[in-house]
Amino acid sequence: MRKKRYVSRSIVFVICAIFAIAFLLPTVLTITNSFMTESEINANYGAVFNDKQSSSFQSGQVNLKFIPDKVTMSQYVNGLIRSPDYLIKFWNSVLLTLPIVIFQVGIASLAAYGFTRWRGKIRGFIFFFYVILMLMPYQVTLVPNYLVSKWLNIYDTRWAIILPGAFAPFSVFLLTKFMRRIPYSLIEAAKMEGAGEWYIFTRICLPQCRAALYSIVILVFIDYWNMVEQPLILLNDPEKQPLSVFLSTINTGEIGLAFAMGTVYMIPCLLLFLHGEEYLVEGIAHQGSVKG
Amino acid sequence: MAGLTLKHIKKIYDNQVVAVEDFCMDIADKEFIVLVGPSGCGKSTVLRMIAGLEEITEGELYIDGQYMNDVEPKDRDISMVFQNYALFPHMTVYDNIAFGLKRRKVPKNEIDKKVREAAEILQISELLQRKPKALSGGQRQRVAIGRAIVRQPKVYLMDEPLSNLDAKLRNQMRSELKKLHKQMNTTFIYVTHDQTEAMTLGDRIVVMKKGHIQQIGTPHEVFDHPRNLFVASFIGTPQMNFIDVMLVLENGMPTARIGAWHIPLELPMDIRLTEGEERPAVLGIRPEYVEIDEPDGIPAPVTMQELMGSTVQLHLALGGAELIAMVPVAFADTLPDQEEFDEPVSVRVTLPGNHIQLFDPESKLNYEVIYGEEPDTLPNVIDDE
Repeated sequence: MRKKRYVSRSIVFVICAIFAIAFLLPTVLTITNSFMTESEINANYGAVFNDKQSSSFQSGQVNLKFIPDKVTMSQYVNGLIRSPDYLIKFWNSVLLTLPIVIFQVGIASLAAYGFTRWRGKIRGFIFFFYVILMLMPYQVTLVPNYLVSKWLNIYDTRWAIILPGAFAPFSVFLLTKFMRRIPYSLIEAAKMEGAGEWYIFTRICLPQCRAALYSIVILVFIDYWNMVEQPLILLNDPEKQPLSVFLSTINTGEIGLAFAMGTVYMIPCLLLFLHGEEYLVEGIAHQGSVKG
Repeated sequence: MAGLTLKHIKKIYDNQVVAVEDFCMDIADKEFIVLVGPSGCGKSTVLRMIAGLEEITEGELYIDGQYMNDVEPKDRDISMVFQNYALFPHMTVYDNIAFGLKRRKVPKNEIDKKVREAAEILQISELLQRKPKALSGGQRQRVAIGRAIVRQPKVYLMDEPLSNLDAKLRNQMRSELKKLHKQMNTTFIYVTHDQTEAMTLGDRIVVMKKGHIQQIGTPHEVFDHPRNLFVASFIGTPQMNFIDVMLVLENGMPTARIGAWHIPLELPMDIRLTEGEERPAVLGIRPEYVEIDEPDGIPAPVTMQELMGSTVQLHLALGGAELIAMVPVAFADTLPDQEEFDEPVSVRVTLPGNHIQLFDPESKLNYEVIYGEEPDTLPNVIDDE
């Protein structure tokens, strides 16, 4: 019996390990390769990027190399100091993502509070409508968003991306489910002790939704940090494009730079995830046990 | 400190369910009132209407003589202890207790003084910096009470505050609540479905069923003079015995006939029974008052014995009905062992006429209400369930 359990555990472990390696490999490769010299990268991946003007270092096949022959920060110096393009795009990403996260969390928490506290007859219908919207893929709303942004005269400005991002049904759904878990008697007790609606919202409800709020911040940040379709359609000016779009237009001569900037690009998401990992797990786990 | 007046209070919920109907009551200042009844009887709704957490559909509510129907909960100067304690989980015990005072902009040093005083009274001084999740059920209960008493409001409302505690702690907290009422010297309105709590805590008890008041009275009145069959069955453990009898006049004295047995009744009122009339009635007697082994008693076979600790419940078969009698363990020990006999063991049962209650089978009302001198002001709602 014990042996059988040991074998089955080992099989599960091996499968998990294979998946973990498959997911981690690109990340590790990007990080370690960002410390290689341009010539070493060309020697390893020249065949993939087919650089016709490459030097004599170009090899005929791809060589996945994890440990650099010579560790250098030159790619970072190039990307962050000498050539400002990547830094500008990084800053564009920040300017798009942060307002979306802030607005979305603010609006979603207020809307969720409304859905929790308001007991009108059409509440159920409106909430259902929200859920339906949530089920739609983003691509479905791209054309209406484009038309509305033109109509509002915000096309080719950051607002064309920030405004649709600020009103996201998923966050409202998640927070509503979370807020409904708060016993109603807490709100009533606060009310009896003299708390007004705003005070109850900010001091009673929100502190208890910390896990859900963290989850939303992390998920929304990662989602919009990695967005590609929205800026491609709603921003015409290449100067305003975020790093996520810019990274996809890798110049074949700058592969090393792309590795370094890819690493820089990962850092905010990684830090955010590590900081709020516990809450993210708690926030999402709680949704599973919530009754509709 | 304040008295309350509830005039014809009615509550209809959005789904057209009538939760409370024609609730009329005057509550005196410093009184401890207990609302008791089975689940869904409307007792919590009454409390929540007093608190302002539910709108009053019809009727008037006065606290300290002031019309309160449209006044916000925070402006009613009342505090409430909830069934699940409703402590704010992200705040310390200190902040929980101080919450109401902070909202009312009481100076900090005064808040500190009052919180520590309340903590002292409830013996939770050492817990002030803990969060609710680090407290036991009983400690949480004390904190919830602390939050209620620290403001010294006019009225305290308590919605089944002991129902989440284990039996031992419940007994302990019950006596502490009684002490607290004396100490705070103000009006308490307490909701429970536990009739023991109602009997031990209340100056007066309001028994409710399906949104209607069934009886308002002192614990003694409700126990010994239940207004109707429901109150008689709801109050008291084990519940009152009910036997269908026929009332007849024998030698000018009202007598209850159970099969072949005739029990003379000592009734404090004239039940207007005429010679030759046979009137069906329900005879009620509490198990505590059933007398066993009097020489002129009715023979009744013992069908079951239940040990309750210091007493034994004897289940007896009496004229086709089942009767429960409470006897001391010492007496039960003198009874022969049931298993040794083919025939069931019999005892002689006497139902003392002065402890017998008679109920009308149609209106379910106590004969004391129908034929008594005191007028009955409560509406009679017949419900067969």
